[in-house]
Amino acid sequence: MNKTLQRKPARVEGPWAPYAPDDKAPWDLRRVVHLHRRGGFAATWAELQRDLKDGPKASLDRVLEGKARSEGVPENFEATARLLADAAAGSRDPARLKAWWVYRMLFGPDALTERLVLMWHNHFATSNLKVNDLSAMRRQNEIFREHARAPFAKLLNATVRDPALLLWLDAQVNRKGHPNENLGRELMELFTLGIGHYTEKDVKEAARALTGWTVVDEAFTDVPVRHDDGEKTILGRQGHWKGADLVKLLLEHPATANRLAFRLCELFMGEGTVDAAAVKALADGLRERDLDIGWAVGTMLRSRAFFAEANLGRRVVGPVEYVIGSARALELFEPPSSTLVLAEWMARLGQDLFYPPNVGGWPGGRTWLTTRALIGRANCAAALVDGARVGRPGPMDALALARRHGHGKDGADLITFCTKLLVGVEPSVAWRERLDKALGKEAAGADGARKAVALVLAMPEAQLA
Amino acid sequence: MKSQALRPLLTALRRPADDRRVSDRQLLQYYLDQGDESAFAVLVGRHGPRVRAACRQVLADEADVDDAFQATFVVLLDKARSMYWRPALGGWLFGVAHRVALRARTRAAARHRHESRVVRPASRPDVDLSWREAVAVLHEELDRLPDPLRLPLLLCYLDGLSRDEAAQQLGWTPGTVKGRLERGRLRLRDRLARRGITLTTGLLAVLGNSGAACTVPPRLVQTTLQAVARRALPAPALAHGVPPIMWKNYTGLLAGLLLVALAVGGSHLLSHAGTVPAVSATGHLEERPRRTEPPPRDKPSAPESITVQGRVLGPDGKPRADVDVYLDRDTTASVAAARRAISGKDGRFSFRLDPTPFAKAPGRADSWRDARVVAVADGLGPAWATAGRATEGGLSLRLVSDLPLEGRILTLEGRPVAGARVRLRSLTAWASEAELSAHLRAVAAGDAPPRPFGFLGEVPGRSNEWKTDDQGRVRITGLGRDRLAGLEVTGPGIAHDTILAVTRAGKPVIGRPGPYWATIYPATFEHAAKPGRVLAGKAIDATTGRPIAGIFVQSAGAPPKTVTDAEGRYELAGLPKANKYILYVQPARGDVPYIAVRIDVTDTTGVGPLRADLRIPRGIPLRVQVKEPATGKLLRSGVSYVSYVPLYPNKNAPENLPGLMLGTKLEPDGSYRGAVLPGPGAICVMCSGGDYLPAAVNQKTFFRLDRVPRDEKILPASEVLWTAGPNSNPLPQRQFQVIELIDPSAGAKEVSLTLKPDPGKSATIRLQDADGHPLTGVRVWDWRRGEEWGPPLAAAGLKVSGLGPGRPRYLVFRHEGRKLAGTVIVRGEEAGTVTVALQPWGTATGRLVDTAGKPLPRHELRGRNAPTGRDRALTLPGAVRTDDEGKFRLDGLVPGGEYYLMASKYLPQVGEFIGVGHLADPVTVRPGETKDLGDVQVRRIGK
Repeated sequence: MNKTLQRKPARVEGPWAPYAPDDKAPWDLRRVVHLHRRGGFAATWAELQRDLKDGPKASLDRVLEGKARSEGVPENFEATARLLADAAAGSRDPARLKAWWVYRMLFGPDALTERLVLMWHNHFATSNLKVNDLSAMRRQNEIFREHARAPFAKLLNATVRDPALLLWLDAQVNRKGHPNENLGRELMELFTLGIGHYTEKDVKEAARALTGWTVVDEAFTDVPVRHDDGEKTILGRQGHWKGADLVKLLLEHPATANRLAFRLCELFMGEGTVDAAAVKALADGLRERDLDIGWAVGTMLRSRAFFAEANLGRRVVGPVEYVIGSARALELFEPPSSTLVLAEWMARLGQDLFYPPNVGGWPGGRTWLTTRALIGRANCAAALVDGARVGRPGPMDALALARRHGHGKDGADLITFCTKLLVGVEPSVAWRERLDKALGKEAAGADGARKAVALVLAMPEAQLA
Repeated sequence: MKSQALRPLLTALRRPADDRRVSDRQLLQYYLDQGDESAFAVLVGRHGPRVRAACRQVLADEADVDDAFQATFVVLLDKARSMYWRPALGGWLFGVAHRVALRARTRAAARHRHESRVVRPASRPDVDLSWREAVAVLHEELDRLPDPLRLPLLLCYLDGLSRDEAAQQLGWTPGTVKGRLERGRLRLRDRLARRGITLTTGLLAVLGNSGAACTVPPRLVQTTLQAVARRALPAPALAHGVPPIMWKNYTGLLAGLLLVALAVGGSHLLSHAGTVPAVSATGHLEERPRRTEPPPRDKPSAPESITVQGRVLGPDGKPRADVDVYLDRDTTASVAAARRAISGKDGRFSFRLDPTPFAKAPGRADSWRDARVVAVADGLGPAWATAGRATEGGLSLRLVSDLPLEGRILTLEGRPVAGARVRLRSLTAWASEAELSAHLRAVAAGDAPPRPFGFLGEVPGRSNEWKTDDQGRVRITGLGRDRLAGLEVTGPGIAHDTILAVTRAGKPVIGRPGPYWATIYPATFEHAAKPGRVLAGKAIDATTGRPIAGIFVQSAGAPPKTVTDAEGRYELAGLPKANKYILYVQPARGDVPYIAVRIDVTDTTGVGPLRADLRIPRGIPLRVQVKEPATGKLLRSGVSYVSYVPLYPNKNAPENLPGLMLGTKLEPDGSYRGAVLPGPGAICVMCSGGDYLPAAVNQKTFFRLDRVPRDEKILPASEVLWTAGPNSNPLPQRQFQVIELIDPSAGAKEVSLTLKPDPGKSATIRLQDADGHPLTGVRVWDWRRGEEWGPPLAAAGLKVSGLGPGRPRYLVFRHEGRKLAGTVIVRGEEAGTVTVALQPWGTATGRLVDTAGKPLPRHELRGRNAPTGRDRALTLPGAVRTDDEGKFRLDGLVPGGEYYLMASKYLPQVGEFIGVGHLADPVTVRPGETKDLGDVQVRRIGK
């Protein structure tokens, strides 16, 4: 997809040294599941087995090239996706736009890019509640997709001129003599430097630099007469800074690389698995390479740190990942669940696409796991399995799924299958006991299989990946 | 005679597509200098949509909107001479329109309404009435603001302009606009707060959404131009001292006067209240629309049967034989489409048409004219024309070549929808390919699209329904190329949807948010359908919980709808998934005594069937018979509707009533049945017969109220009904012919009423000839009933009722066999019989010429208002056409009267007759005289 992937990452030692399988970190099913759950939205059993066989290099190459999905991707995916997006943008119906993105995440070939788009949606959190323009939200989403792994300058410059963001942060009322600080502040605080690396004065001056940037006829326009072209001092630098200059200043500031490194670690690394030195090394690497996100993504996914034992099962699965990942792993392709309803479930679980709670995005991590949300996830799992509440005509045949993949001859085998598929581990004795108790004696039949799937999905361990 | 300086202006005017080059100021100046109506027509076309939008904001009744629309342009005209020029007219006109509409509204409630005899279409049903009260107050307070504060608010909020656009319109700096917007908003907020209304952005935003630009029907343009051209209106007979109504200046009285005056004089202005755009659709595509003139209407048409004839042509223009020709139903008539003829070898066809089923109300006997004649041939697209617009040679129906639609219906997961039903609901055609392109461009840009050539509901003689195959594909033929089809899509698991597709290759047009927001597909398209939900449950009695059969359940504003079965069950399928589902429930039959309510059902997760039981409050059964006062017989065809209104201070009205009034059902035995609530209420009857006086009751005295909910000085209890509910919206009384106040107790078994409208005074008229012998076979022209003469009377006289103070009746008589004519005005105060002696009518002939002596062919002569004090002024019933040499003949003139006439000419770009000038002198004749007036000069208006 972009050239940075073909280039072999420069030999990075230290925290992000590349992974090679060994005794402490063998290339096992667990790691394959882990790769797909962090670098995608979970994989089907066949895909897992394939990657297990082919080894890490081939598997990573596939993931990074957007070719990891071997099934469930319709032939005319892009054409259909475009049709759905156009229909959504031309309608008054946010549900359609959400359904479109779910379609992309669930049926598209490149899950890693969609994960990054989700990350950028969170990073540049813009809510349609205020923007109220589906066409603009769609365009913003496409900007995230296009520049997901580009050098950050490309993404930042495109995003900061994106009408949805400008409307969201009141750019159109920011003018000479009447500065509005929203855009400038969030640009510094959230999108680039992060808190503590600028002063209030910097924010004011940044607002002045951004005057003139507005939206006219749904397109970005720079209106010179509104621009305050006086001298400004931003981050210690003096000049008649305009918006483009401000962006350049921010990109050059070392704090930006740190913040990006933080974001990427938030995406790919588990809680407490990355120390300050590792983040710094990543940030340094970014700084040396024009903030090339693609390089960082490749480096991280191929790293030893990524596949270290400490990093496995240490990250909370967010609602979107949970819903899409479950649907994918369970091969709910034909008949498909309703993308509209899946989006609805995500919202219920706390992540409403295109409607982040505020400009800070979704805090993520443990905040996903409220009691209510956990109950919601159990309900969602049950709904996915039984089909009726996600728009499928009937329940999934979990037994057939297991059998198709060589498991399911009895209750114990079924549990093994579900656990390996959905959590990536060999079920422990304690685990089996819990499940046996919950399943009772119906473990072996079709109903039992369904129940097993729903149970596994609802287990606390399944909320981590 | 046109000077050199004007030539560029004229050239510009002759090319309507380029008329933007001519500024508003130039147009207005040209009209003032030359009296050329086409210039003013362009102005009306340019600013009409926004003016109409402004009027619609304030007035609910479409006819009132049209009246206010016309009044606004008259104001423009009168101000045009004296006002200092504003750089752009739009903003100022908008403000004027708003003010005029407001004044009209207050006046409409308080004044006599002569036009109550015309069947008024119901107020727009989509306006939520409880919201309307807040909007009404908002408009009132807006109107009270001084112009500097009012105009920017109107332009930015109601008209949706940006601050910069508003600044440009008003000629101010953007900073000024901003400051005044702020101050205006603050002041408005305070004023509203004093009236108990919070000014929210929601309130202002609703205004912005609900009133956006409208189209201006061609009839409205014409009547506006006539109103402007005449400057004063034709009066009824003045023989008995009723002064003609003229306005000298307009100020605040304009709107009210205009309403009255229009009603008094302008029956032709009120007829054909905009249904189908009446254009002579020739059905073929050309560069410019060839709108030919309609035939003269001076022949009084007998309503017995009409011959419709014409010719069917193929796409190549050659006559086409063996083509089916249908008469399609008019949008309002209940006549079903039926094949009437097959074209012969020369392409010609002819059939007889009985206009009776089309007649909707007295004065609308000619509504058959709006029906469409449709030629349908296999393998081609249909051609159609409006029946009443035939030219001398008959209708010309030119078929077009076909271009099929190839569509595919998919789910949101990209899967095909098999077995979906696709139904044609509308077919729209343009005069040329270029015009369709212009329409598509306008939709893409979010602009008001130009009006189309004509449209059809369904293609007669065809099933108009297709089904998708198992790949979700459907192929639709027989529509004709370069047309826009409106298709309704329903199917298993998908939501009801309507899609628009043009029979033309290309890309989808995705419109912009706004009043014309639409997606238009090309001929090959894919459509992603949302999942549909099934809503099912029972209708149950709110008190007892028992199921109720015979309840009509409908989801707001759209199909599907259904009626509960014997077990009270209902099921609605294909509802698009939404946060909540708004249902309207009401009794489907008169014997189901329940109160109509609105019920909101909250959505649940998923798209499976949603169960919702509907609790409906029971009412007291109501039975109303409306009887003729004289005979005591049931008044059947004369009743428009019978409604029940809960009144202040009734506390039993549920919160979720869908509107102010609840309807009743007409039973086969002629009575009206429904349900009422215990407590104060009113039964209101609207009669269309027109021979009755408006109702007048007093709620305050009847219910012995200590107070009424509003200021009595503005709207007293004798003029309005105060309805129940939190806002106590006032309902003007005058629109009804009977109001019966009721106050049933909670335990009442039934409310049974026999109501009789008040015929007021009547007058008996005896008709005789000049020798005093009784005269039968006389035809009567009643200006209130439209342009048609009535059938010959069997008796030598007639009785006229519905007369009351301020409601005189003007009648013209003629006896065709003996060439006698007469006229009378009766008021109901006459002692005894009024005898009208018809005299030998006079005939006037002449040649119409302009001030240079050039003859004026194919112009129309009509009556106009007379100068003050002319007691003998009479109105010419209908109109008379000059021939190709400008010659005309006026028959049936009542001797001794003075006919003040005006001339209009046919303007193709408007498709209507537009006034060009007056005849300087009135036409008078002596009994039996045939007078040759010679060359009669038409003097330009404004000179």
